[in-house]
Amino acid sequence: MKRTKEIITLNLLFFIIIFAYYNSTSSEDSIVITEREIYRSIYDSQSLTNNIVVYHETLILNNQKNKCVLSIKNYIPKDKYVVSEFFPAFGNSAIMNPPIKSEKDRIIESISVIPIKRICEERNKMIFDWGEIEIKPRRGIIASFVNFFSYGSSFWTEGDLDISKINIFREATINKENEKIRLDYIIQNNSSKKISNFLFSVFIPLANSKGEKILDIMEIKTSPHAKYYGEDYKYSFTDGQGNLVKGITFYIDLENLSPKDLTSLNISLKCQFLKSYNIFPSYKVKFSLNGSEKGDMFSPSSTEFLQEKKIEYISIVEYDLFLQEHSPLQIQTMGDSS
Amino acid sequence: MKAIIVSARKICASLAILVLLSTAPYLYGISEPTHKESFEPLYIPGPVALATSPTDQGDAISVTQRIMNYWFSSGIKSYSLTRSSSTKSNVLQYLNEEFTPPDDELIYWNNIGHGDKYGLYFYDGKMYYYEFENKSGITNSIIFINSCYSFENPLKNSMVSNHPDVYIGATTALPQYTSENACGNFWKYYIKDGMSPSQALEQAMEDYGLEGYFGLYEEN
Repeated sequence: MKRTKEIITLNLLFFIIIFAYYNSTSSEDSIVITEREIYRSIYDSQSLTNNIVVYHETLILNNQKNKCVLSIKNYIPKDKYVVSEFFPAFGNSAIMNPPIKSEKDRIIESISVIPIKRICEERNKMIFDWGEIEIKPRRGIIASFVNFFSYGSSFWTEGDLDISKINIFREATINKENEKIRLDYIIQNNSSKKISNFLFSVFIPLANSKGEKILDIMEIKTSPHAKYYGEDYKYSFTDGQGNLVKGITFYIDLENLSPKDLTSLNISLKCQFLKSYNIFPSYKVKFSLNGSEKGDMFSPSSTEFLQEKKIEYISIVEYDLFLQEHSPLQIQTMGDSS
Repeated sequence: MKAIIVSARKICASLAILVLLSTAPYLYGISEPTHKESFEPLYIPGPVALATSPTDQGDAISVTQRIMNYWFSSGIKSYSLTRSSSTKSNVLQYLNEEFTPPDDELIYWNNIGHGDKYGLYFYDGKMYYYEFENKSGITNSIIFINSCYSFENPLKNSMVSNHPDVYIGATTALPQYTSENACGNFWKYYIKDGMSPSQALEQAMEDYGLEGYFGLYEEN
């Protein structure tokens, strides 16, 4: 009797393992579409402004035993297709590092980047057409483009930053007599989605483009979770005006920020002002949208399969922005009343 | 009589083999030194530069070659570890300055490859940030890591804890082609044109519209 129970238990365990394995590998008979959009800053040294481009990659993996045939198109608002000023680029030139990948590409043997077939206009839209594509079993393709998205200034609304409903409110005060600088930032997630891998950093130049020190920092106070580096004049970064200058960087990084949650970065500096100068802090804002959907995308891919297929869809939206402050911190030495 | 002839033939054959064996080294250019003084190979200890590129994506390999040419032309012993030779253990030999003979010093290291703020990907796997600590090869060297997020902590802190003269890393994810070429231009401006590291980086970033993509640490 005991022996029979053991056999039944073992059989049950075996069944559970097989069932779990089957479930974990259920994607292996489907087509997996992973789309990634990354919004990035491109610096224009002529106009000293940041513009935003969007890198879009569509990765299609054929996990089936048979080939699949499909067509891919992306639609861009016509006013965003500005060839003379901003590049649209396709194929390998539009691939971001690290390359897009899917958790479900275990059985895929090779992935190739496909060239664009044609670009045409239709009413108020530009169509990026990748044509009819045949994907062999266990193969994948990437259709990619990079296109203008907006001017960097479009994220500034009434003096504060609004990046896809991630609002960054700021306040800066300079006390000339006490030589103190105070910078306060409040970051609030006003979107309906949780964001992840959030990073907000503020770079404050401590020297000008000639390498001359603007100010010496005597004391630093920050909010508890803030981190900083560069007070030793060893770190250089772009000052937002095309120069690589020494400065200090303050930052906060959070794993997640839920809808309606807020966090803050508070910086208080006791300084010695050495040179009258207008400092333009620059900001880096990075985050991913969790559970992003096609609706979160600038230009989701439209795919059309010639036969009925089992399709799984994953999308990823990331922001990686470098934005320049447009209200300068006016450093004035005591002897300079200008 | 027959036995004597066979023996004579054997002796002749043995002598022929001996003659052949003794002349073979001369025939093949392998000769003993003419006198017995000790012979040391010509070796000048000096600076070494290392270019690593575990990936062949984008312009990684061609730019690595371009950087090697700048180093070679300035008379620096330059080595490259690309693709499958760019393993963790091979790279570590240079970073630990395990040279034979041991009096060489690593002064430049350029890496083009994938990475994140926790480490760099070499051919056989990821080298984590803590594996870059206590590396004598990084000390007093100029290092350019053209890998995503290589200027973010904890990787940056591990690198600069070795007190390199200059450490350049990416503050962001990098686009292919432009980032590799900006990296190549940095070495051109620094080695060939004699710019300072910060001037060279500023110019290289401007060439490809990548201002803000790289940060620079400089030991005072």
